[in-house]
This record gives sequence, C-alpha cells and structure tokens, in this order.
Amino acid sequence: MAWQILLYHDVNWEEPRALRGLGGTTTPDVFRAHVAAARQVGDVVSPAEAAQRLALDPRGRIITFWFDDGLAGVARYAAPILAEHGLTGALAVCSRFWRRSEPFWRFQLAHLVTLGRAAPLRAALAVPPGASLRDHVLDHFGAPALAAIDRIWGELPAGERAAAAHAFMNHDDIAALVEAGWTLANHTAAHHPVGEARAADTLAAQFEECAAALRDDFAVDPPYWVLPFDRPGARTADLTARVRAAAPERTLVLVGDRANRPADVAARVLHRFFVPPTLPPGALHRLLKGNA
Amino acid sequence: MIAVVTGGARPEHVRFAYQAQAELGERLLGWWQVAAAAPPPAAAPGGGSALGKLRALWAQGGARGVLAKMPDVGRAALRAGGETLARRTRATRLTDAENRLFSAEIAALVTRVRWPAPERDPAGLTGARVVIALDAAPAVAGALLLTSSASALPGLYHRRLDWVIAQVRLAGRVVLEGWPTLLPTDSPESCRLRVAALAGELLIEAAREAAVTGHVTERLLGAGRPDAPLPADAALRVERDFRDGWLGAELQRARHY
Repeated sequence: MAWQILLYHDVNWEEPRALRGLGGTTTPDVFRAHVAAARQVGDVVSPAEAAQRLALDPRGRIITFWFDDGLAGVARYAAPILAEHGLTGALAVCSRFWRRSEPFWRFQLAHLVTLGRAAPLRAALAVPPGASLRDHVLDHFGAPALAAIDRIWGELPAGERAAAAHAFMNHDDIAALVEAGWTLANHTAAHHPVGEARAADTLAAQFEECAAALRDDFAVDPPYWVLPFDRPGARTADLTARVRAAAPERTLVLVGDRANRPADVAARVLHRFFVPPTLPPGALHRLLKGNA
Repeated sequence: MIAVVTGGARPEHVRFAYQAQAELGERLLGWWQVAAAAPPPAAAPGGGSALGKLRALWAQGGARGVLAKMPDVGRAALRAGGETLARRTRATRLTDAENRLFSAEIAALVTRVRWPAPERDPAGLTGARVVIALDAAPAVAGALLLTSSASALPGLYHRRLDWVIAQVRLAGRVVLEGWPTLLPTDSPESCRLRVAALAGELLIEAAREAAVTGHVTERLLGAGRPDAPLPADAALRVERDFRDGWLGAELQRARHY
C-alpha cells in the first residue's frame, strides 16, 4: 500500500498578475483530466481516511489531492470538479491571507515585477547583477527584505493592492469547503520560509498563530503542519526536532516527491508530489503507477 | 433574470452556455443564439470527434427550440462568424490532446446542468434584467448589456502576452479584465479557447453582481490592446512562432527574475 499525495496550488482559467509572475496555475481542463487519471490508478480519499487505510490494508493505492496557500480558484474550480466524483481535497491555508491582514510577500514581489518594478526591487534588496531576485529574497529572507518589498508595494494605488488579495479565498470560501468535508491544514500565518535557517526561529510562532486563527474562524484544529517552500537542500538539519518540540502531536507535511508508507504516518512526516501544471494526464498516470 | 446570448456554436459558445446554466441556475432566463446552430462539420476543428457530437447535441437542442435563433440580428453575426471560422480553420487546429481535454470539459458541464433548458420564446429576451453575451448581442431595452472581448490572435501576433486578455464591457465600457492561464504546451487555438473560457467566467461573475446591484465593480489590468488591423497572414505567422517554441520561452522569461 502506498499513499500518494498530489500537490497543487491554484486551479483557474485566470492567472492574476502575481501568479503570472510565479507560474504554478493548473487549468481546469487539465485538472479534470488529472482527477480522471488518478481515479484510474487508485482510490482518492481524504488524509484522515488515507492514514487509516494505510495502517489497515497493505495492498492497493490511495491518492489525496492537496492544495497549498488557499488560492481562490481551488474553491471556484477544483472543488466542483472533485465534487462531480464525490471527492474532496485537503487545503493548506495561511491565516493572514484569508483574513486579509497581510499580503503574501512573494506575490507582492511577483506582482511588482510584472508591473516593471524589478529594477527598484533589485536596488532596494541589493541583489547582485545577474543573480535571481526570486532566489535572493529567499536566501536573504528577513524583516529588512520584507520591509523593502512593502515600501515599493506601498507605491501602488490602494485599489490595485486591495484587488491583489482576491487571489486568495476569503473566510466564507474556506468555510464552505469545510462544510463540504474538505480537510484544512495549517500553512503558517504568512508563508515565511520557516523550514530554512534564516526564519527557523519563528517556526513555532508562525504555525501557532495560524492554528489559533483556524480555531477561532472555523472551529477546527488540524493535525497537519505544512511547511512553506521546502526547497531542495534548504531545510534546517533540525527541522523535525523543532516541529516536535513545538507540537509533538502534529504531522509535518513536506514536498519530497515520494509516496508515503505506514512508517511515514507513524513518524508523523508526510511527503507530496508537486504536480506541474503542464503534466499530461498520461504522465500523471505513469507517475502514480510508477511511484507506488 | 439573466439572459445568455452567444454568437455561434463553436466550442467556446457551447461551454459558455452550459457554464452559465450551471452557475446561474434559476436566475437564468434562457439563452439565445444569434448565429447558425452549428458550423459546417467539415470545416470545424475536431470534426467527427466527441466535440463534434456535442455540437450536434447543441444543434439538436436548437431544433427543439431550446436555442432560439434571432434572424434579425443573426445574419450579420453569422456572416462575421463564418468568415472568422473559415480563416481560423486554415491555420489553427487543436491538437488531439487539447481536443480531448476541452471535449471532457464540455462533456462534464453537460452532465452537471439540467437539460434541456426551459423552452422560451425569443421574445422573452426582452424580459431580462441583465444580458450577457459572448461575442455580439442585440441591445435590449431596459436591460444591462454585458459583452465580452476575447481575442488571442492580436496579442500572440505582436508577441505580447499581456495583450492576450479577456475583457467584459458594461454598456461598451471595459469593467473587467483578466489574463488567461496559458501553458507552454498550448497551441494558438487552445490559447483562443482559454481566453474565451475566461471571458465566459468573467461574464458570469459580472452578471451575478449586476443582477443585484445594477453595476459591476471595475477590475482592470491596464494592459491595453493593439488597435492596428492584423495582416492577412497573422495566424500563419503565429503558428510559426508556436512551432519555434515561442510561447514556452516567453512564459519562462516572465518567471525568470
């Protein structure tokens, strides 16, 4: 038995300015084909059911659809497509985004770049010539970098800044998914790279802030702590220890691009396959068959 | 009540009508088609495919009166649509994979909505509070008219992805704009369908708000669009760019910073 978790971000016909600068949006027609391909390979179930079945039944394949960040297209397009098959998914959300109390800094960055503001950003962030702005901000993440992005973001018209928030679900969107049986997961308050050295000291505070908001707003206490970013080779060596120290009972959810076994569930560490938006349905079928 | 008008029976029109019914439900007064019930099968991209069969279903619905033709406004739209279709089909085709994806998308919509739609007299269009139209539409006294503009070709021809844009106009003024999600593997034809699908989504979003408030909150990208007419061989030049991998390279360039 193997449990394969398929990771998506947005599913949408539309690509807002910020997402246009990042990529990662799957179109509804492709997502529909992915769901059909997954159903041919195994049973699509919720994380809770998957964990139970993995422990009880050593045969077969089980699959979960997982969506990070709480983007609006998941409610509008992915949820109805899954519902046509009687399925739900898992949704990892960041509290400051659904509450509209803070924009996602990485979306701010991409949004500004698509508006032609790359040069002032590079100057403000002291990005060396030829270096990647995207990577530089992650590699030098911290309050000064966030402040520099915020300063240039603040030069945009208020209406443009407010409209950017609509890339994310609001409270009511998420509540409707909870009502429909979706699984909510904790993706920190503001999607800082808390699994990497420069932000690791805020890991517990970021997850706990989101946990409190999930309890207050949706009366849920999700067992899943979903690590933002999870860049290959960038995790702190003591990541698992930090999570265990902060919340021994939580399950740490990573990317990792591999299937989960009973030992993973027992160790409370899950892995997911990042699904590229361009992955043909046939290739997804082969990926699922080949990695069980 | 909201009335839906389409300017033809190509895949984007079929999808839009079904999507509108799925999302607007009882608020939908009905839909009207202001062009031919179906394009000539031999000229249609994907003719003989599952999509072709769905088109036939669409046409059959028209024969039963579910799709009411409006000859007074239909002739001009038919003429324009026929010319556009003929030009497009010489240069652009959906790939087999794209055809399967879009066919599945439309087939899924067919299963989601109530069919046939309530039969309505075309005169009922005048009872609409809001008319949403993919392509051309007749003016209806007393109704808010929301139309869409969803052309991909000018932007692709000028190699400007920010000009590949779906727009919704309220009484002629642009009120909503959106960029479609494009994939590096898309063809010019699938880009066109993606823009049209987004235009339909924006129209439905606008109709929901307009039906309640009488207006639509503006959401504009400020991207602009080219004014100059395209040369006759524009579609062929776009095809050549796509064969050379332009779209994938351009998407990658936009995300490399």
